[in-house]
Amino acid sequence: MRIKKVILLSLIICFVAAVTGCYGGYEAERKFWLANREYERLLLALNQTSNEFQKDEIIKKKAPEVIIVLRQVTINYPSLPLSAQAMLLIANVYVIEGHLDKAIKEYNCIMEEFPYMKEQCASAMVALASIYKERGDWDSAEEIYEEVISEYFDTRMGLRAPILIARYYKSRAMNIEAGEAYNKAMSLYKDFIESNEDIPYALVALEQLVNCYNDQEQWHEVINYLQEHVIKNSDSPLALQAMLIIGTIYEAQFNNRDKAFEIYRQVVERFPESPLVEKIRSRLELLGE
Amino acid sequence: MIKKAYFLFLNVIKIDFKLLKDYPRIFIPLTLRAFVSLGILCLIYISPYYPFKKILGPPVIEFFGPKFLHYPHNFTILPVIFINIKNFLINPLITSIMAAVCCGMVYDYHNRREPGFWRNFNKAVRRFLPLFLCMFFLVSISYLLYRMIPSLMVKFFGQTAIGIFMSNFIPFFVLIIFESLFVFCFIAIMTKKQNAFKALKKSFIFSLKLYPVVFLLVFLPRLLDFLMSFFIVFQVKISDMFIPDITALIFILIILIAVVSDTLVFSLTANLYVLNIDEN
Repeated sequence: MRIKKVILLSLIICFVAAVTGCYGGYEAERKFWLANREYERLLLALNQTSNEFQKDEIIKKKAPEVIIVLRQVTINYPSLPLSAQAMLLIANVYVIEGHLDKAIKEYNCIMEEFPYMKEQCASAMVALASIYKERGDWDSAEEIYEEVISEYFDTRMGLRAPILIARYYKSRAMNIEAGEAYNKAMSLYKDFIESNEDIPYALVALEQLVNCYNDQEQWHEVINYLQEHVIKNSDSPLALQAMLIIGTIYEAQFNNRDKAFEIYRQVVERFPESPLVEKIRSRLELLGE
Repeated sequence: MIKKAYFLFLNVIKIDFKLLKDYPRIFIPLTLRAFVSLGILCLIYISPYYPFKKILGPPVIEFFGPKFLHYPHNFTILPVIFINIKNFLINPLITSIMAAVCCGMVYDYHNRREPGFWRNFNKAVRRFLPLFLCMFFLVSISYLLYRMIPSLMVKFFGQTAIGIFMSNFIPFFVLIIFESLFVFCFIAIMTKKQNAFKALKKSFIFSLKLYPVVFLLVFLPRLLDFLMSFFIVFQVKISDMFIPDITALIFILIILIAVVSDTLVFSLTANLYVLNIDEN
């Protein structure tokens, strides 16, 4: 009798676990991770071959399989945020396949169904803009980029939008427009860095700002800006990053290794605990500095 | 001398295999231990799932961090959690008793009694304290050796294929040498009501007398465990090749193999002990 009760209780526990737990967030994470791995394997296979025929074969063979596993996540867990991520990857696979209309539909779907997922929405919009750009519809693309800047600027992808506009003009040798776009982008990044110094995305903004200077080969200007506005007497991760950037510029652009190593030594002294410094320290030790 | 040892070794193996063939119930004690181990493994496995996360999640977050409740990071800590629970909970509390029961059943066989589980289980539970202390001593020393030797081996050989092999083989070899010296403490406690210190001392003296034979009797079954240990070493690579969940399967296999290897170690050494104590 007691054994029967124990068995019954075990069955009830298993049933409750199956109903409430196994279909919850963890299982979604698991399915998404496995699907994402298939997606990454597809990208890796494409990167490893330069032969167009082989690329086509890989896409024909693997892309539908990747879409199926990703689609399983969106079908089984439609309300979970991971679904938005899976939809984004599905759309990317459609782009790889050349099914741009399907990709556009998927990107729009993300924005409609997951408006609260800012990072995914920004990624979807930037991807959408690049499809329009490829199709030669720059006006629509620019409109989307502007929307990303106004709605989702505080996301990783959103922070890329201003520089993407500037780079488009630069690639078309439209120097006046490019100059204006770079100035606008730099001013946006500077404002963002000044008002959000302590958040991790400030590092992304700093990276994009340096890219803007880099694209225009304004090395002295970037060094002055970083020294006067970012490093100052700050001990923030942003200051550490800025010092490393200055060191790299001296080393790579000005070929001034002594100055670069002086800066690296200052970094090691000022931020001894940072994991970023570990590499610098071992490099200095390797060179007997 | 060598010839005598060789015949003794063969004789013990012959008797043990006949015993295990006639009385497969001798596998019961360590099979029960395997069920407990599987239960604990199952608890670790399901800890990130929702209803269980509420209870099992906080300790994981406290010791390792919140990311280890998410896929696939939970599988990177599964070996660490399981091995520590096995070493410091399952082995002192359960393996100590089950090893003694296994030895007791072998002793029954030699005394022309039916090898009974419950009788020996009751006897082992009554002698739990010395059994626990002996197992705790063995586990603690083994743990220290396992912590110290691999790092020394890696320093010596570097991160080469030989280095990886040696950092597994040398600790294994040293542990076998150590285990061979004290493996008789369980049968000593079961046959003569002795305290932990006396049992360890008796085991040490007895083992030294027949050391080459004892070493081989422990070494051969433990080779199975050694082979399984490579699954743990290459767990990350195996997970990458297949899926991270395979870590749980590896541990299920390790637990099942341990039933065979542990039963063989304890029954073989118990046979050797009983035969030679009787002869003496």
